[in-house]
Amino acid sequence: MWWFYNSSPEPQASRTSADEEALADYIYSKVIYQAGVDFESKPMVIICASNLPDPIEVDYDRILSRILLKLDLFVESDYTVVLFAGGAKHNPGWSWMLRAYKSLSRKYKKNLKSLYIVQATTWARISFDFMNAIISPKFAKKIRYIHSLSELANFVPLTQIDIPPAVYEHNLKYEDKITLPSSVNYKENKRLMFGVPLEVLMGTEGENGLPRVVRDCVTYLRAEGLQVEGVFRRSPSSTLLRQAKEAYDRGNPINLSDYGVHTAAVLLKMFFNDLPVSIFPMQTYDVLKQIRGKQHYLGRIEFIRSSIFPLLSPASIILLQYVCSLLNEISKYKDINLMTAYNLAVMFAPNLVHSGNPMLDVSMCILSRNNENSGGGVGILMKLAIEQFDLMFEGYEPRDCVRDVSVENGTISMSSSMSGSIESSDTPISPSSPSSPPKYPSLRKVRSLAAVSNLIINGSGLDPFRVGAGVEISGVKVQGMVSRSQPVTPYSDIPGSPASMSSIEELRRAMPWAS
Amino acid sequence: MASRKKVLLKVIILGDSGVGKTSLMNQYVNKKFSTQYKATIGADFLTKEVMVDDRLVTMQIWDTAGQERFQSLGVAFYRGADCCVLVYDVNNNKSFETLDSWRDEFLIQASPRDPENFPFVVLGNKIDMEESKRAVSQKRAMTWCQSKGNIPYFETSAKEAINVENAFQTIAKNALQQETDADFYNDFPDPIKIDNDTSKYDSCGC
Repeated sequence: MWWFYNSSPEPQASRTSADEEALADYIYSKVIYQAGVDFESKPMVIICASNLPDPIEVDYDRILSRILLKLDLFVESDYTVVLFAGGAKHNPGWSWMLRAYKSLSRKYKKNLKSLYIVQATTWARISFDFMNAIISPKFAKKIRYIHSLSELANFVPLTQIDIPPAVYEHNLKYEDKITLPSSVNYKENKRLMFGVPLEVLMGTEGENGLPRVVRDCVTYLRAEGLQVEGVFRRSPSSTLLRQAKEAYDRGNPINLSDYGVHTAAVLLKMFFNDLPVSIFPMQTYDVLKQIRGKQHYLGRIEFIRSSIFPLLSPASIILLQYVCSLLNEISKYKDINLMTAYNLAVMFAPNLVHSGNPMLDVSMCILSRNNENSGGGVGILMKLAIEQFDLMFEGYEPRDCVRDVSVENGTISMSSSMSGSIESSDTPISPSSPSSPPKYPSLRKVRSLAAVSNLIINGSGLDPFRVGAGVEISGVKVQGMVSRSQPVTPYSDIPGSPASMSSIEELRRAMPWAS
Repeated sequence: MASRKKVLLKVIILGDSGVGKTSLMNQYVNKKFSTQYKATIGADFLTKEVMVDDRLVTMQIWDTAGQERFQSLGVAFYRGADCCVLVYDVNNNKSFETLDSWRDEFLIQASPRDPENFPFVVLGNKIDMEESKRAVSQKRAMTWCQSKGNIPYFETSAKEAINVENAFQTIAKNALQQETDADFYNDFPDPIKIDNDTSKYDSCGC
């Protein structure tokens, strides 16, 4: 928030209009904002104490006047205010509170039907009560103190509110989990995001568009995350992650920039990891293993498009393409973010498989350290899909064209954002099902490129994919890598045998190159 | 009882993604540091022979992927471990805060016989970075280690090979201690028959 530091020692004199605008933007998006209407259709205004800036850097009278300006929009008719008092870093101080209270003239108080003060500290509560006792006992009746967000959910539609992470975090002191009342008000809104079958979220042909969390994460990461070091590798704060995930599952509006790039990246991985049926189900493993046998990358791409994509559900392909396009963009900044296609594939692939046998899953996702083009099927596929995004998904409709259908408050809203053009004109896409992939994707471009490159490869006598297939021997010590082509019982299942022994024996069998 | 016979010690390295687990292992075993930024998948292990208190032991060091997804692999990898090394990046507060959950996770998954006294070692890595970037003070780290039953703590740099040798020497020592204790509890003879095949795991030195 650069304007904190921009404010000069003499704020009145040299305040620029840009400065003022930035402050206004901040106040109106973070400190005071509307969250739809409450259960009685009165506008609901949210005020977040936790987002109040540092009083040393910003003059609080400026904030107060901004808040009043915003309230002016509502005071003409009935309205409700929810004040999140918890989690505040900065205390505005007594005198300001008193001034603020005084500025709330009759105009503001008259139509204010209820004021919910959430998680006020005892101190703040006492001061409020004190002021009310002196100034307006009548107004005091409109105030209701709320302990937890679950309690608040009984009075106002909680899932409409964009609640800042600091408030969620503060709420953990009062309750472990937010539970919504089972009233009708929440039933129609309830939309679980995580752990729901893709067909339910997106429709069998993907006609319902992208899941909200996927769209949000990709959009946000594209805007803010492309150049962040270790994006998709670094882990976020686990509290933040949990809050964000639960907010999505409740259907709360959420602003990912409050949570940061690493939270968004892991949230996206988590969405895939939590799918009841993974993107690459176990039945596809046998075919996936054959990728490795294909030689040139173009041969591999052709094989993936003709033999693997048809095995995946339409929704899976839509998601895969959508995410790979982001990963492809991220990999272009690898000099800054250090995330090469290899790293991105290593971080993402494990979330796309879930056979119940983790060892088998690892073997599918492995990418050899020494020869990055060798490894398990999903690993190779993902690396190729990131590196050669255009070729891999040629003829598949760019994902931003998918009509976004979302069910909100029981009404279907359709926003069609047809942007971007389809490059190859030889793959007509039926307009009736805009999101489903073409039944037989054109491979013309891939084929012709494959022919050219075969010539080159054969001419030089080099085969970049045949070298060192997964064998990892460091010069000095034997280095093991758990990669298996056959599903093997995990050694943890062998009863009574010390794992150190069984694992070595197992490994030796699994890794013949170690002997 | 195993007295003079060769021992295999299983050491597990845990910690968040990108704190330098692979680099530490590589620095210790191969005396090499790569500036390449490369994520690990699943788990990898290297072995190294070391002398601990006049005994030759083979350390099998397991480097695990720090990412979320394969933590379910834990059981398979953690079982039978003799020492668990928890690594964090001194310039990354979050990686320090998760040490708790890595430790808990290990104890649950590996279910060692005597969890209270299972040897952990904590490494604060990347101390080669400039001081201004430092996010976790030595004092804070040591306080945490003390609260968890006096876990030995080392500040390391895999890049500049600072304290790595030292740390792993302690790791080996504590692992051997654990291994000997474990032997003591064993009713049946030690089934690790690695002696015949040690040549496979041995190095030729370099």
